[in-house]
Amino acid sequence: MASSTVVKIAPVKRALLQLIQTRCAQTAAATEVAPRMKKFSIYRFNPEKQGDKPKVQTYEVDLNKCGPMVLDALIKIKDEMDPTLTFRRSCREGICGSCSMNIGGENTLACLRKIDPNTSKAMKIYPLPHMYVIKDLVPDMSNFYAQYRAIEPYLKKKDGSEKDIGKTQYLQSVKDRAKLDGLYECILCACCSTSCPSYWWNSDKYLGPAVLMQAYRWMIDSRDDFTNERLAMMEDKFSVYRCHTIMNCTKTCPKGLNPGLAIGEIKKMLALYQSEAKTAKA
Amino acid sequence: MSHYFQARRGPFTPEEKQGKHMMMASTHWKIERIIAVSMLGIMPASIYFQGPFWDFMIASTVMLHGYWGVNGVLTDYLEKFIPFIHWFWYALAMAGIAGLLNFNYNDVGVTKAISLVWKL
Repeated sequence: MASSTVVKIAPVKRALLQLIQTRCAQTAAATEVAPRMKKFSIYRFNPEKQGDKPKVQTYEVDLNKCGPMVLDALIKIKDEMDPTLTFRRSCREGICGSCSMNIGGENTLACLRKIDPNTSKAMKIYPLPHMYVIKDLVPDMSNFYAQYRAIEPYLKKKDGSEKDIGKTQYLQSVKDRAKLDGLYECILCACCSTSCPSYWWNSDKYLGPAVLMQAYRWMIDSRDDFTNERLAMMEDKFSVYRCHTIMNCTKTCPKGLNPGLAIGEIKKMLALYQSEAKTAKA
Repeated sequence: MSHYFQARRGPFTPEEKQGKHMMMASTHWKIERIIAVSMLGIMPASIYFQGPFWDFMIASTVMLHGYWGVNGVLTDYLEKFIPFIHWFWYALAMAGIAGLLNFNYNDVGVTKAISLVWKL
């Protein structure tokens, strides 16, 4: 009796098993995927520890349990392995410019750089080159910001007084507005400036690609009345002319902008404009 | 003396960056470029025509171009450590142009010398 029951059930069970296997094959949970351990070699420097010297520390992250970007890995390391790892980050989508660092020998934003899936090679992460390091991956940006302030990055008008501000719009033609495309998108992450050898040697006097591109952005703005004065500010052999068209800036820009071209345009404008000093001499 | 070999960190005022140059930086840049581009024509022309005028043209433009080129390198790398380095280079360039002019006036001249080298 018992044996006949078994004989009857066996094919039904087999058919059911087959059905489940075929139907659920795509949605089946992956069983035991091998971990993909990737090494991250990260620059560490702690100024709070007396006599501490910069060193490189290596962390291992399982790529199966990590997001696709370098910033994901950094956050994972900070969360789960080493809370002392210090870096700047904010938007995680390439619009704030906080997480600029040197990844695999290239200045870029950690949030826009994919992790290289080749697990045999370590990913090297350093702070922006030739900057004073405050801690780990955090560089001192105060000189960079001071230079940005020096070019007066805001609209300046000659007519009207303070109290007229905001009463009427300053209109601009579509063509004039289009000139600002490729310039206003700059997020001042300083990837370009810190990739420029000229800026490495002369960052005290040379303004650097990022700041010069913003200077150009205000020079060509049709609403701005101080184009000649802005150009006259550049009349020395350092501010602009330390640019030797090395073009590292354009190559490295994580936003795909072209600061090298902007500096070239400034040089062209400087060669052709009529400054007050020039007309006074003539 | 010791402060010469230690670079001063910024910030530098625009006046400090400008220095006491007679010429505006943009004018200087323009003249540099005009001479550099015109050398493309001057060099073959002086070999082709030869004579004292072309001797002078090639000697002066090559010396000026070379002087500015090396001066730029000195500004890039050495000026902040050794501010008086430009004077050494200035003296050397002056000696160079004096030698070339002397060669033009009292010898065969630059263009002739180049064609003589070519003949060897």
